[in-house]
Amino acid sequence: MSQVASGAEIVEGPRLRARSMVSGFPSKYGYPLVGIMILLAVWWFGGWLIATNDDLSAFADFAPGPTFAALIDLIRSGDLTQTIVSSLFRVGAGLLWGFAIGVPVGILIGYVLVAMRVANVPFQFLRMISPLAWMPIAVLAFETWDSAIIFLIVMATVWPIMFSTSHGVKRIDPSWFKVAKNLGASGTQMVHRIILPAIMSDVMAGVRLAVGVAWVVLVPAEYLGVTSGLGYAINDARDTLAYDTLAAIVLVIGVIGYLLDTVCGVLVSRFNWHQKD
Amino acid sequence: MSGSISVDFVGHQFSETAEIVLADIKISVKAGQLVSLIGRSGCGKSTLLHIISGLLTPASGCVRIDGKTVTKPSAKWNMMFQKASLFPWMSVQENVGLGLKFSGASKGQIAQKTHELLELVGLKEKAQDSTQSLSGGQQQRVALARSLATSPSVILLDEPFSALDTFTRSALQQDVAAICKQKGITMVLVTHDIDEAVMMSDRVFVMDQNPGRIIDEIKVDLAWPRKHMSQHFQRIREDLLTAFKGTEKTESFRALDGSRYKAKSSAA
Repeated sequence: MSQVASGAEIVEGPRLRARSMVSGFPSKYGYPLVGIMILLAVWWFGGWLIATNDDLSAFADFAPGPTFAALIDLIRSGDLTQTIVSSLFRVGAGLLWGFAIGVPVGILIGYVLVAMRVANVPFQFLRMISPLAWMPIAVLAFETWDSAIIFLIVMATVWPIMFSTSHGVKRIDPSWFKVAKNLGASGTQMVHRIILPAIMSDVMAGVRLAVGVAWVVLVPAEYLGVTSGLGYAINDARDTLAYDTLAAIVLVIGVIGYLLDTVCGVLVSRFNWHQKD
Repeated sequence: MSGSISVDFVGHQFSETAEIVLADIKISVKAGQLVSLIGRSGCGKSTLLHIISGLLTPASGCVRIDGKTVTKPSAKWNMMFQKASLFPWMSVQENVGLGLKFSGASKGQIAQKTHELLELVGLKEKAQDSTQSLSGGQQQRVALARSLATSPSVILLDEPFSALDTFTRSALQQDVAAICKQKGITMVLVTHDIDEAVMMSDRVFVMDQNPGRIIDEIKVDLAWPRKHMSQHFQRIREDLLTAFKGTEKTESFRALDGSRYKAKSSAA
């Protein structure tokens, strides 16, 4: 028995070492660092090309050096915090509304076949309209610019949340409903104890998609009238030819978008009850 | 003792134009009795069990448990399915205590009851584990504990052991029958396994198909716990096999009201 075990150890040893190298420090931090370094190198090289070209030298401030200098100035002045807070508030409010509408409607169309049949065509039609196409209507319909922007974000977030939720409901094992009914579950208990926990990972996957779309829609949406937010800051930097600030804001948008996606990814894992290998 | 079941002339069709699934089923089960419904696939055993549980409303006739007509499912007559259907986002203990939670029991009551039941089914040490880490047999034990948590007077088993290996199935057959006897719970088991029916029942009803109906009843007067190899067991098994073989020849069936159903031959 011990011979077999030790034999297996000899065979498995190199494999285990190889696996630990793949799943250890390099895969967690090393590879992403290499990716970031490549991106920075491409950016630096692009900046160098622009700076050395007489026709483009006016845009030399897009290079990493001036961008990071502008970023530090933005942080020190406190302007960046205010800008980020304004944008996050709008995205948060839009997501909240998207969640509040998308989850219950998603449950309804996932659970009730007739509701799905009735809603399918209109919802697919509305989903295909770019959220930005609602801009003129939003401006007319809402009193404040903030409300109009939040409406555009709702129009971007509600569909992924709704369809993910409905997909999650359809995937629920029908025997769970039978068991819960048998155990005496009321309608509310069925939703609270069975349906919501069962679909939560699908809902969070929808939220993750929604956050991505909302973040993309936010910048053009903030070109609308408002005097705060990342979209406004980009527009303002372009108008004042402050390309270093413009590049710094683009950098911030990317970093925050990445962080939001990471948080959503953690939440998806947190609510995912499917057995992991 | 509560848990008497009366199935009175139950008939069923899934729609007006569909074939008759069940016809004039009449069964009476005393409280605390263990009975089995045995028959070929598609003879309507599971449909009948769903009707008894209240998950399905019969097209005609009615089911009474303790004299009350069954109109909807209740935690007092619990059903176990072929699949354990545990809720994977809950721990073993949370699964077992779910029915009590639905009934508004306190945390203390739930903890005490789930502890007792997990001890009864031999899974006390797994209380906090994920249900996904359990074997098929262990999952069915949790499902059994969950069904027992609401102190049901009737337990309805829809082929709950059919997906298990022989050893686990045999152990669970013994355990479930013993628990029902010990607690005075009426049991209705749907199975196509003749040995299982003899092993776990006081009475076995043999069903035929097209339409589904009871064609025979065999009494199992064996002492508990039962042994497969005993002569008496084998004799009852032979009786059941004979009754079961009879289902191959039946071509038509005269209902209690005198009408004749057209029945397809079920011969292979």
